[in-house]
Amino acid sequence: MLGKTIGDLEPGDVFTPIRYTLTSFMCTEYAHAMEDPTECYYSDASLFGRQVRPPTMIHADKMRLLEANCDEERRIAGVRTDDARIHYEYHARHHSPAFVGEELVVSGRIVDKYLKRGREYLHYELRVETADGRLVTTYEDRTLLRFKKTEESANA
Amino acid sequence: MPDQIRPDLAVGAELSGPTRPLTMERVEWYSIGMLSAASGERQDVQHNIHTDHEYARSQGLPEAIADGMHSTNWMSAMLAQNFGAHYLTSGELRTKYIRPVLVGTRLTPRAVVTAREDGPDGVTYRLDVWCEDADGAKLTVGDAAVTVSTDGDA
Repeated sequence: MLGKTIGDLEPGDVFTPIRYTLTSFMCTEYAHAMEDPTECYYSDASLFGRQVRPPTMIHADKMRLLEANCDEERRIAGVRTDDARIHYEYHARHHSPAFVGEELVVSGRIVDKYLKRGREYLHYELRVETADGRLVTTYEDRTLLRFKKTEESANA
Repeated sequence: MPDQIRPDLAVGAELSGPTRPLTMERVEWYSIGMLSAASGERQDVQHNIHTDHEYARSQGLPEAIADGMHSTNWMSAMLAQNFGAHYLTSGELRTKYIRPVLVGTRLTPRAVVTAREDGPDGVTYRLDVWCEDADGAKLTVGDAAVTVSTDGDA
């Protein structure tokens, strides 16, 4: 637990890893939400012979990691700050599928925090592995901490 | 996703997914699904910049905007459709949300093959990817790579 809001995170902050077991419910809810009919996200009737998660579910892992590490801003629980965060860049590398029933470990850190054209960005790095050490996904993310530019926020 | 796909694409080959209006209903589906996947329990729609026009305006936005992941997910589905299991085992996708996608925008995911590289593990395809609106303006841009393995398994 870093005990902060997302906006308080600083380069060098390392998240306490989270562990969870991937369920069919998680995969189907996510795939259904994005209207992806790919059958392997819903059942074991696929090339893999096992149900897998959509690779973009790394975005849900980021939410889980923040929920567990930033106790003053828990967005799944509806605990928000004054500023909405806006996703700016997604960059995932897939190393292997994650199968339903596997325990996943999500870790991550803050790489950078910078100002660009009056707006502040946070650069995350995340890693998802199975509990027995198989690499699933590596991920980088850039998020805008607030849409209003710094001078606009000060005058609001 | 069709099984056992082994695409044979030339540089310049174009891919696309379906054109869909990104309605508020779709925005809410993603809100529910993503939060449910992240929590393991069925969630309700949250009021945020994606679902609440008034709140979005209070944050300086013109109105509610779609979650950037909507564009990413539709591009990812296009890649999975064309590269099958190879995309899940060796894919890479980077997307940047360069312009807000206002709720109601008709969005089309597209890609073009920019390179094809033969290697010891198979053929690696590199692609430019984007989502465009009905006027052809790019709202989300990025790149992707997938290695299509030469062995029997994806």
